[in-house]
Amino acid sequence: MHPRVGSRPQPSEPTEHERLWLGRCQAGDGAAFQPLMRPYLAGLLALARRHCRDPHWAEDLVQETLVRAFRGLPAFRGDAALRTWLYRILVRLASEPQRWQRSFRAEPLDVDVPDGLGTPAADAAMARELQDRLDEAMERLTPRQRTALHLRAVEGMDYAAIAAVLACTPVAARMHVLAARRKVLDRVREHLEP
Amino acid sequence: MNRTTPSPDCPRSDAVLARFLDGDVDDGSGFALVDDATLRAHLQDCAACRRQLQRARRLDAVLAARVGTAGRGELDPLAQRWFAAVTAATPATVAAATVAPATVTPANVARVAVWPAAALLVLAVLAAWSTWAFAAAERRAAAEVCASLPATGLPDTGLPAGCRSDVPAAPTAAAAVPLRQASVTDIEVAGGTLRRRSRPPVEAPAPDRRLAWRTIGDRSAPTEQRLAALAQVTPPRAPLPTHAFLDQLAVLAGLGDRGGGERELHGRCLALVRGDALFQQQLRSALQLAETRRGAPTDTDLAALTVAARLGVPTLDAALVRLMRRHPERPPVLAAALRCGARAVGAADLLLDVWHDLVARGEIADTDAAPMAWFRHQPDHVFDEVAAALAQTGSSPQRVRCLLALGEASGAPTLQLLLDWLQRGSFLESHAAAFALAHRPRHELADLAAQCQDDHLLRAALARAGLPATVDWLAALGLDAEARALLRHGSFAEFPRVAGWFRGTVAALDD
Repeated sequence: MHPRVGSRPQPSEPTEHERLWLGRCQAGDGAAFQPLMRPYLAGLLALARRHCRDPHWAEDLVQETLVRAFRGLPAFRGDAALRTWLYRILVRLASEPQRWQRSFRAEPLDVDVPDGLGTPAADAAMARELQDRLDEAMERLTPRQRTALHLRAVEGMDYAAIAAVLACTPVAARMHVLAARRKVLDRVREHLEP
Repeated sequence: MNRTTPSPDCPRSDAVLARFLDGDVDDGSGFALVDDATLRAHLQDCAACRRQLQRARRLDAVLAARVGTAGRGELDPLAQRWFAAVTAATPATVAAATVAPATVTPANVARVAVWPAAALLVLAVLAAWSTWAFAAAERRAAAEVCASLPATGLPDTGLPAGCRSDVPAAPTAAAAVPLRQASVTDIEVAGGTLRRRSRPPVEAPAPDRRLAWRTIGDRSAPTEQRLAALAQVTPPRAPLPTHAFLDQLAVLAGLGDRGGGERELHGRCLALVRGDALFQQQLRSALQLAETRRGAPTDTDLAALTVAARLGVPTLDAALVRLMRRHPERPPVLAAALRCGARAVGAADLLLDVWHDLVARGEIADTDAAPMAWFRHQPDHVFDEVAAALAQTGSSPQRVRCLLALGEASGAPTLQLLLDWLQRGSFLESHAAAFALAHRPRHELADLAAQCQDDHLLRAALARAGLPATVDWLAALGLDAEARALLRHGSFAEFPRVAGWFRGTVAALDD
């Protein structure tokens, strides 16, 4: 493996604290679950929001992920990093909404029209435009591509970890990342010109 | 799935990105000729790859900076809710018993077995020491008491010598107690004092508070007595014990009659609790538990819902909307809680928020008028708020909901509002106004039959309401029994079709 270039460092080994909380959790100490999960909540919510357009569903998805994690923690063997394991649970649940949602719901019909929007500054407008285009481009990806690009760009995971989350090979994970990046770049190209 | 993947400007762009952005090209990558030196040389020569790499770096940066990251302020309340849900959705203990034998390492065993044993040992030592120390102190106190006893064998009165009467005291029952027995009594008194002193400085339990709340909730007691009991209650300095909280919750949920004395008492109780942040915190926790509970709600769930709905605190309202989202069958309970009118502000907004939320999540259809029943028998000020929301909202679906809600109101102002919206609203809004009119009290509609002229919506509304004046219209339309049933009892989704029957026939009916 080549040394990484342009990649953010990421902790692949559990910290001492994580080992401690994990051991206590697996020994039946439910109170250790909160400190064990705390560091991963923001990342889980970000990934859930990438999967669900409705922010409330995203919150529910994280909640269900935590419930499943709590139930499955005694059987967690540490083959993968805890973060990878959590993301894998979330991705699985997101791909099968009928497993955790009470019922499949239709797309919202309601559109709120704000009465008075101030004129945003030019920069803010461009940023919003970029964000809208980016969101649109991400939504056009397949769920696996979207997850792969998110885990790579936002979470800084390497291909092996992404593969563990997606339950595929590292080569397939790389293909998902590259294809997703290419598709998104094609849609927001003009906003990212140097 | 879109299978057409746009091709990069240079066939090696993917390998360049994988190598220089993701740092992860190895021999098994599947890319041809991708060794490090070759790619470096290629990157220097290929402007397209350099540009693509720059774009991709910016894309990753934008994604990382902007995509769905949650701040701590946003995350903390969410985390609380999530962990409460985890606690509620799983047995109290995952328990060592459920841990697979293979996962029990020696270190785990040490944590499971040794630490509790050590803790028990320490507790036992502390208990033995305190018993010994207490006994020694008690012995010392007893000796001091014995030494201070006057020759009579009776305890010193504590009065200064000059105040003491030289006349021997009259014999009393205490004086009749033999010396030995009196000494033992005094030793016990001293021991009791020591015991009280040796207790940790906990906040004394407040039986008066619980007694006061029970008096407040006692409907057989005179109102003055209940108000006096309320005046004794002060906000607690620490969270109430669970039983005290539940007592208070039950009393608060039980209030709510519209009668004069009860109404005043209820208002004061709610005002007291609105200033009690600790009670509200416990109430939020109760709502979270109710949210995560599966199956039928408990009495505590319903009481928490009722009290929170009446308090009108924004954080509790948000918790209630979440609760309704999880349990879409409970908004009628919420509506019932609001009917007493104890909440002066925000009741309509809360009901409309719940309605909007359930529609947005697909629990009910956008044209579903069933939530109209939530507004039935609500106090007048709720409909004033609905009218205000109707005027202010920029959302057409929200206006439809407001109009439907006004169907449960009574009084001239809201009636005129509905008549106005018959003319000025969009298709769905004007039909909602007509549908709502049909639900108004019949005495309000009696005079409208003469004003129908060519307004087919108003005719449809009056016909649905079953006014005697509409009998001739229906006869002229020649509706069969099924059509009449649809007219009288059809849903709002079907109402436009029903109203259409009256559209082209208005002139003919008048003739």
